[in-house]
Amino acid sequence: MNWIKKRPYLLFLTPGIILYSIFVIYPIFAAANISLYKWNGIGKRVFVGINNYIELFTNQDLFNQMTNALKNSFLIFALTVIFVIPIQIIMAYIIYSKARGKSFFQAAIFSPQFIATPIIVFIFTLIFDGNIGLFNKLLEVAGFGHLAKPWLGIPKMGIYIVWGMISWAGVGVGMIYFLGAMKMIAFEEMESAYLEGAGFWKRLFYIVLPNIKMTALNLVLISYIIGMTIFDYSYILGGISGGIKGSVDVMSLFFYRMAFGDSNPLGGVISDNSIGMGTTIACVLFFMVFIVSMVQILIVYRKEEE
Amino acid sequence: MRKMKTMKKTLSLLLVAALLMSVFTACSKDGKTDKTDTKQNDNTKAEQNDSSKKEPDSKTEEKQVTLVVWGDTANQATQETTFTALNKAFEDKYPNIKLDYQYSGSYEALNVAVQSDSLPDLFWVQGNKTNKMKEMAEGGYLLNLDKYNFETSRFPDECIQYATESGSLYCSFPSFFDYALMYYNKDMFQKYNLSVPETWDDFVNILETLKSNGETPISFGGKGEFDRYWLMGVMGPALYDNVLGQINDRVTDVDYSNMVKGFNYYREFAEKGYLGENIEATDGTGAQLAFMNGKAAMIVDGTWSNSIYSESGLNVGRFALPGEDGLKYSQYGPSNVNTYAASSKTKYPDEAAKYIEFLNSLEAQQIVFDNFGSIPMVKDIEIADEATKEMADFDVVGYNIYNVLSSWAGENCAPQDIFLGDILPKLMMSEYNGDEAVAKLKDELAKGN
Amino acid sequence: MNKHQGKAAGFIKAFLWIYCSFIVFILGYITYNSLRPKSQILSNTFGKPTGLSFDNYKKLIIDDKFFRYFGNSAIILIASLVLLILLSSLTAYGIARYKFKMKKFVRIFFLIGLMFPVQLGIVPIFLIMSKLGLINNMASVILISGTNVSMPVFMLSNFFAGLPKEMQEAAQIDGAGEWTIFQKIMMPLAKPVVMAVCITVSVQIWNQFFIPLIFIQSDKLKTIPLLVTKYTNNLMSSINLALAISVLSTIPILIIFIFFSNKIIDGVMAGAVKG
Repeated sequence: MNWIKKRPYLLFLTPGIILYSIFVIYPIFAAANISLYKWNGIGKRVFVGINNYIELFTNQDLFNQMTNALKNSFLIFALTVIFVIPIQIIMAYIIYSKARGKSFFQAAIFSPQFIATPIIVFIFTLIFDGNIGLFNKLLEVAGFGHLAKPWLGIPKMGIYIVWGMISWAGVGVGMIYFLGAMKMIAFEEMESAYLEGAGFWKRLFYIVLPNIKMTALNLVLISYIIGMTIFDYSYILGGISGGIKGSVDVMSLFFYRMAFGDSNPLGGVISDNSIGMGTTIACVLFFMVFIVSMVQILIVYRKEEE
Repeated sequence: MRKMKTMKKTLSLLLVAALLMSVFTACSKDGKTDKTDTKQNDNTKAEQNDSSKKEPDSKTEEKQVTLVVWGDTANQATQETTFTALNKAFEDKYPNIKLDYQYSGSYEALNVAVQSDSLPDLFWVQGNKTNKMKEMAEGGYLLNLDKYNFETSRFPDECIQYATESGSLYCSFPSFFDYALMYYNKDMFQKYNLSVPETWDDFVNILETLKSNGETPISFGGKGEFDRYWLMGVMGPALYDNVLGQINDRVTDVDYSNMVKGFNYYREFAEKGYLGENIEATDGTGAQLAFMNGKAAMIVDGTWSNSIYSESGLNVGRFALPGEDGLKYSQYGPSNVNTYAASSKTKYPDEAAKYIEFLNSLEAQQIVFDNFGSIPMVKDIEIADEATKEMADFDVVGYNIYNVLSSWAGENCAPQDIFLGDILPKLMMSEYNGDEAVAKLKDELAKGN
Repeated sequence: MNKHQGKAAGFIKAFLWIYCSFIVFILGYITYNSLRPKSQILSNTFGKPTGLSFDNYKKLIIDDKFFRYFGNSAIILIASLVLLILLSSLTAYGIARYKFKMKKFVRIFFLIGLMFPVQLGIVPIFLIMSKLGLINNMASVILISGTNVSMPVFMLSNFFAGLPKEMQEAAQIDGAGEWTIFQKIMMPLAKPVVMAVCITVSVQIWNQFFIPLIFIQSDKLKTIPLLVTKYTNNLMSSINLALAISVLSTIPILIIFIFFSNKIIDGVMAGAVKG
């Protein structure tokens, strides 16, 4: 009893640790050891040690696919940090500063979150398709017919379009977090700054930003993790192969393609090592995310245990 | 004191959490008990009604059983009416067997069920179209149906092969088939005085006529893997069916010249603008909408999409693509709409086999046809509507490129992926010519040996 | 605090109005198309509206029993949310307010859940649930989504760390227990961020597709995303219903989000920690 009394945090941590370990951590690690087997998920499992890892890094084709997918995943992450996070902060700040129409902004910006991805893609097709899209019609009507393009399929722009859709649908999430963080700022702090004559932007830079610094850093890490793990837009826009020449391929899609392959009405063959190699990719992905997270947490929170 | 209080609070908190969970468990067990309860009820009912019930089959024991059947989740919307009718007919015929038909057979759920050894009594399979059924049969997950001696005389050979693995029968026979063909805008054809082509040259002439009149001959989505594939899927058998046959039969000295020609046509169609503008940026949905809005004369799509076009309000016709020999080609492709296998762990193997036998019957197949459409592989199904007659109007069942290529696939060899992901886009973008594309394919096939 | 915002702010606001109007246009466009019969959407995609009706909605609400799916989704959402907020605020509070060794390790440990694709661990967790007898049972979905605390713990712990220390100390001097401090002082202070967490995880739980797909087989227990994918899987052949179900699954929840989110979150917080 005494031992626990000295460590009151255990009372707060224990329920979370127990349930989270059972339902989240254990299944992941139970599955991770499949990366040491050659297995297609149905047939016999053959233990191969770290051969899958060796194969992944030495097989030229697999390695190329992985580096290409990684490149795209990093691009999504970089674009998100450079553009989306500042936009989220500004959106949140406008809403926080009680601009007219703030509830409307909040609901509208967040609403794409609720719409199923295939419907979003379908509506974007109706609007931006090259042959039938509304947007091109508008351009024609406005006399800019020569600018008409198949906006959603401009080659080489694929990954930017995927990023655009992810951001369009997801921008509200970060915004809500920033808004929450801003609401935590002590009212007196803002008020006194206002009375001292600090303008709209000055208040943002000198009071708001320092207060939401941690939230921003956390969201950078979350964006990294999401950049590495999101794949549904790439899948819908480019199919299981990630578009022509893998133009919209991302890490998780690479995992998904290896582990579960293509399921199509014509049938096809599942590879002898689908689940084994898929799990190997997931583990490599995990290590990349884990190491970056650890570095960030060690830096950001370096003072906290002192 | 204070600390003790905290302890108590925390303990009670944990208790609340535990309680909460048991409440969920209890309340959501409803769904579950539902099932077992009805099962028990049915059992008792069956006992009471023992004498009054008609015996459908002398071998069946007189007990009420419920079979869990997993249907195809991805196609629930299109198959729902079919299976509602089908299952009702089955339950009427076998009053002692109840079906709990669930649309839970997604690829993922079936994978999980196999790996956790919890397959339902019956579930849909894709036969020999993929190697999954083979793997499941070898792993001992499937009920061997040999001892039930199903009637096979109504079915052509390929139906039986579809359901057979290493000499044993594992699922119901396919009785329909699907292939890709041309849908055309009848009004536009009439406007330019065109008729359905009888030969390959007719077809090319039609394309030329339409193009010179400023129309888009074929609506084509070049962005999606399979959207690019369908056109080649119909051109393949029409132009180089013999090459596909040789590849399929592992002939060592294949003459690829027809395939080179076919590949060159594909590239040429794209270059000449027969497929529209900016094809690499158009997606399949956009192409379908463009066709249905009257912006193109034709589109290549599967028979499975027939309902989309026939319900669109467009005056649409269909034809199978003719080859240079003037024969009309379809492609091999048994439909898995009514192919089901049973789990080896089922408690009621005999009853499960009854369902499979029922799916093999003409009665069931007629129900599927009336509700679902598709082209019959068995001769005795009555065809009434015009659309199916058009779709059933072909002379030769050609090879299916994707199937032929994926039969070569192995650990280091994936010709079907090379074909979809490399050869077709590069032909379409004029980066390969026919010879280069064939060379690429040969290289990949060589790895499979 | 609304004055003296300058030109740049005005420009941004104007841009926001345009952007939000675009989103409203898209929602409106989906709604408009959902009122059309299938043939009109397919072959007269951009033509004049004719034959607008609620037939698509009738089919979804009556034939498909939409509200049963809605109810199931709502039960799963509320129960998961209560469990999730309870677990994550306790954990985050423990991490943020106390000093102990291994703290950074605990932070990372709670992030791991975000780092693996959910499809990977599905078989082991399926086996656990089947031992607990929870297959084809909402409890399995609730347990999985209610214990997936990675994101909320990560976000909440930094907010709890930012709350003023003095209050905790003052309360301790007044003789309040750890639990009382947590529940009566800290949680109410953290309400804006708990709200942010609630909103974002709610959407995830509401939209989750894979877990119910695997764990729920009976039609009676299925959730809205399963009904949505029923129609989006064969998008073109059921486009009218796909659009209508998108509206049905979006608009009510948006209305709740706009008008009632405050009250619901009060309720969830009460359910989770004030008990």
